[in-house]
Amino acid sequence: MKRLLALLLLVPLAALADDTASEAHTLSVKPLLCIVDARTPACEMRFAIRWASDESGYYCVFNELETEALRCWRQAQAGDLRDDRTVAESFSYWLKQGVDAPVLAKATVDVLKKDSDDRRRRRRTRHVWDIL
Amino acid sequence: MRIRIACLLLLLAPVIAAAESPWRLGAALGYGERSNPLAQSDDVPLLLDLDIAYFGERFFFDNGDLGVTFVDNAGITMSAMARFNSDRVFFGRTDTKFVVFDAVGAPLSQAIEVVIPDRDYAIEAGFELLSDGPWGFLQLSAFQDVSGTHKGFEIDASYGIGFRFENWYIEPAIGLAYKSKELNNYYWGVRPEEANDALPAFEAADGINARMRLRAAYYFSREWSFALSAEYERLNDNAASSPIVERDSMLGYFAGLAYRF
Repeated sequence: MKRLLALLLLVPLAALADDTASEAHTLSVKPLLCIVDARTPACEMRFAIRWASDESGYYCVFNELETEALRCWRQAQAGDLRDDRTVAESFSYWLKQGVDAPVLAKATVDVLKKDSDDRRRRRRTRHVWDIL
Repeated sequence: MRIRIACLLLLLAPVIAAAESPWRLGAALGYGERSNPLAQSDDVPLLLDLDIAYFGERFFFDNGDLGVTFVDNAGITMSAMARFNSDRVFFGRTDTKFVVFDAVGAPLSQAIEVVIPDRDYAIEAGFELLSDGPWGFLQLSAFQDVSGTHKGFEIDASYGIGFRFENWYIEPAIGLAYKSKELNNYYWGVRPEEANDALPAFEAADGINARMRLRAAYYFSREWSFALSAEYERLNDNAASSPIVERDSMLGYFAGLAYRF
């Protein structure tokens, strides 16, 4: 019981941590969650994006929705930017050294859909508590 | 047992999350209570709540409810259902008591044992209609006892709507449940053979229970949330007048950490 409790308490903290591809390069994006339902099908979000690297160089921040970089830095070891966006589907930001370069770090913005296409998933159950 | 199931769900999480699944699995660990309206009874505690549901194209299982969907379009979903009656849940947590006064407060010549009568689970079959939209969520249902337990029926209507505030999601809901005389009297009545000087016989007529609920969750991620739930249900007047009923309402609450697979 105690182990389960500890696990339940620790895992959400891990879930809050930003996605990163390696420790040498970090990419932090906040916020990372958008909640949508039938009345509010999209989130108007301002993302605070921050990256850092162990080595100085040429770095660009991309996202999954656009082919061109949001912004690039020359001879930099860290950087930050803001990105205003309307979000309705999950997508990722990437830190790379060019369009065709490998992904150095990644952060995914999740969309939680409270209204399922299957409305049976929203029914009130006779479950004593029906909490979840 | 519940803890083992929760551990199994945690281990299965990556497999289940890998693809869109007809399964809906979740667990919440925290603390909550639901008051028991029966006299000589204990409240119902809750530390771990499990959500186990399967939604196939037609068939579905939702935490003990079984259904077959035969209408599903842009406006409504309609299903034939089977379930256990929920009124029985309170009768599993009653105590025996010895009293020296009768029902009107007059002293008795000797102590009398007062036992809250036991009641059985009933299997009920019926239909359920669901509808939703930007205006909220509506659920209508009608169920008839098919197990010969209470031989009555229940008609239920619920309405709820969700509101988003950044990482919070709040869902207030209200509902009414009409319980037929047969159902009401089976659970809340006292048969002549169960009565004594301290517990008079009682026949309950039909009535309408009213309830309201507030659910709120703060989402840390798509899977993890902090869940809060509070529900108030008022027993219909006929049930509340029963000598086995001490409180005319049920109040439940829960706060805990929840994981959705």
